[in-house]
Amino acid sequence: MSKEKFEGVYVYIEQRKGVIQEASLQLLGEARKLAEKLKTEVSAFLIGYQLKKLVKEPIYYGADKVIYVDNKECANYNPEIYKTVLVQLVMKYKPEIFLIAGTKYGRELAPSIAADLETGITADCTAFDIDEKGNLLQIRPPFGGRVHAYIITPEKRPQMATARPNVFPLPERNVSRKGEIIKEETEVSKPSMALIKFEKGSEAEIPIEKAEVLISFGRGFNLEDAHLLEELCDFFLKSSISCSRPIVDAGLMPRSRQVGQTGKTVRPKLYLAIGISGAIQHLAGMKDSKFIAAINKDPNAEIFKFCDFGIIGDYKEVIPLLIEELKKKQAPS
Amino acid sequence: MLKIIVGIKWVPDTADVKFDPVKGTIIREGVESIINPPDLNAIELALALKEKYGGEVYVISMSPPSAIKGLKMAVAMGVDKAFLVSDRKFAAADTLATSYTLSCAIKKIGSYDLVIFGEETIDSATGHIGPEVGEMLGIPHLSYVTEVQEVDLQQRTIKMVREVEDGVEFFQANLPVVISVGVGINTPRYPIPLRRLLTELETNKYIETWALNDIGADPEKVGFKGSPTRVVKVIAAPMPARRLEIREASGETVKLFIKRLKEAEII
Ligand SMILES: Cc1cc2nc3c(=O)[nH]c(=O)nc-3n(C[C@H](O)[C@H](O)[C@H](O)COP(=O)(O)OP(=O)(O)OC[C@H]3O[C@@H](n4cnc5c(N)ncnc54)[C@H](O)[C@@H]3O)c2cc1C
Ligand SMILES: Nc1ncnc2c1ncn2[C@@H]1O[C@H](COP(=O)(O)O)[C@@H](O)[C@H]1O
Repeated sequence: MSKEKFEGVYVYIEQRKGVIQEASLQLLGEARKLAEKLKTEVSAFLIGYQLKKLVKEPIYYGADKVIYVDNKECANYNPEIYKTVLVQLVMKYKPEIFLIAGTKYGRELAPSIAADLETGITADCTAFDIDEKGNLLQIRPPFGGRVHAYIITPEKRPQMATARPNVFPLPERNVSRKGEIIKEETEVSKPSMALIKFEKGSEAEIPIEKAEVLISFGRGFNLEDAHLLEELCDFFLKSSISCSRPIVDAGLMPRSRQVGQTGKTVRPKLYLAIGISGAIQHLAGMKDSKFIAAINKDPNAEIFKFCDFGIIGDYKEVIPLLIEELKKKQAPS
Repeated sequence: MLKIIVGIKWVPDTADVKFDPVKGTIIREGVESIINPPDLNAIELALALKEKYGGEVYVISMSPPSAIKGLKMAVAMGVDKAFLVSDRKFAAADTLATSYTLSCAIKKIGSYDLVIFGEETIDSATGHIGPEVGEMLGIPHLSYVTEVQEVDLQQRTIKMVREVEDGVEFFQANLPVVISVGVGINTPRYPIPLRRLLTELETNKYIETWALNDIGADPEKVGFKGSPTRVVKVIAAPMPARRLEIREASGETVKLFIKRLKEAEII
């Protein structure tokens, strides 16, 4: 197929149990910018079951067109079924660029689609642009985020990439935006793999990627002092608790609370690192926070090279002092 | 009897990798290489399943000959046989070309029930290989698997658990299947000294090297030629500039800290 026949910027809009994932809406904003540079349209692929309430959402966030498949077999995400459906949509609509949010489902789905189509794919991009030849510039941070690699897919189409969630801002929801909505029927063959059960994680608190203040602890923190973290958290609105990887590996916190290369990328207003040394793999997940503060008893800890405010000391002394001062501020004088 | 193939990569320890900002290249010289961390968990899972159900565990790696060190380590851990898939023509492969090459090697091994990969590598960190190889072998693939609950050798089915953002999913699939696993799902065992010695003495018995022709790969689809993506440039990632106000703990320091939080409109 000649490259010329492929046109438009397409985003896969991921919904889970009837909720569109914010990471794919964030990508719509980025897709709009690319489409403007290429003077083309933004389209959204949406897959699921009983999608009526959702189909207009991508339009409100910047899509010109929504192409959706509403099928009982697609009620739950199944990598095999979703892949088959998306491959059929891509073959029919021939996107020049096809972007997928790098959620767990997205990171699994995207490469299997690329392999089926025998096209190139770039993982976890943190920036996009269009080069002078009109190719999609896919910018990603390999080697634990130490470098930025600029990648293109010069010949094959579509140009595919996944993007890291929470790197691009969420576009404003504008319900007066208009667009075209197309219902597609695709073949869904019987899968050889089936979801038999789902157990919802116990997420009482705010997910860490949505928190504005993150109180984050590492191996230097003893969980016997957990009450200190909670007390601290209570002084801030939209705050939550996150951690470094050894804490998760030790089974002390769920993986959904891990910050870093193999965890989540966060960019809160305040990231307070307590007993975290500041390994490159950890920094990769929080280096874009607006204000980084650290409490560490080792004056040579790496984290002190990458923070706005660092307190050298034992957290057992520092946090109570901090709590005391914050209480004073709160008390009406 | 379960036949399991594990894909492993011999990677520079990223913690030591330096970047040359002038040349725009990664300095790998003098950097220790290791088996990609989650690949050790993949090997451990394979060996544990072999102990439970019987069978064989093979390891494959597409790499320059230097990866033989990693393959020997895998054999010393208890793997039955290792295949080094190595050819100059495989150089500069992107994930699609790597997956194609690995899938040719897996087909050459022939029968298999389970193919296990690490979730991602510490150098390129794409997580592409598992899903792509699954696709190329024409069998289902599941990422982020944390546990294999049960294999039914009569029905030829497997039950797996995996973690996603909002919970835990339980899947059942027909064999064969490809899965990817992350660091922390188990504790990889140490190499056994006796096996390490055997591997050194009889390397050829445990490690086989396959070139392009041996795996019947299409030369147009491997290496640089077979890679649809091109790296245009690599630059040092800028670290956002920080205030770097570092103080010894004291009441004054804490007061100053709170003042800064106010200035930043955090409280
Ligand atoms: C492939 C790969 C991926 C990885 N991905 C991630 C990732 O996603 N996220 C991640 O976090 N890590 C990741 N890591 C691990 C990373 O390299 C570090 O090992 C890890 O971040 C260290 O965690 P830490 O800072 O909590 O522990 P440590 O490095 O042990 O640091 C503990 C710190 O606590 C301080 N401390 C001790 N006691 C006190 C006290 N009483 N008061 C104040 N300070 C104290 C110490 O001075 C020290 O600096 C990854 C590693 C690899 C190889
Ligand atoms: N060259 C290779 N040879 C064998 N297995 C590989 C190779 N590259 C990657 N893998 C496997 O694929 C997984 C994911 O790698 P990646 O897609 O590069 O992040 C790794 O954890 C390995 O199990």
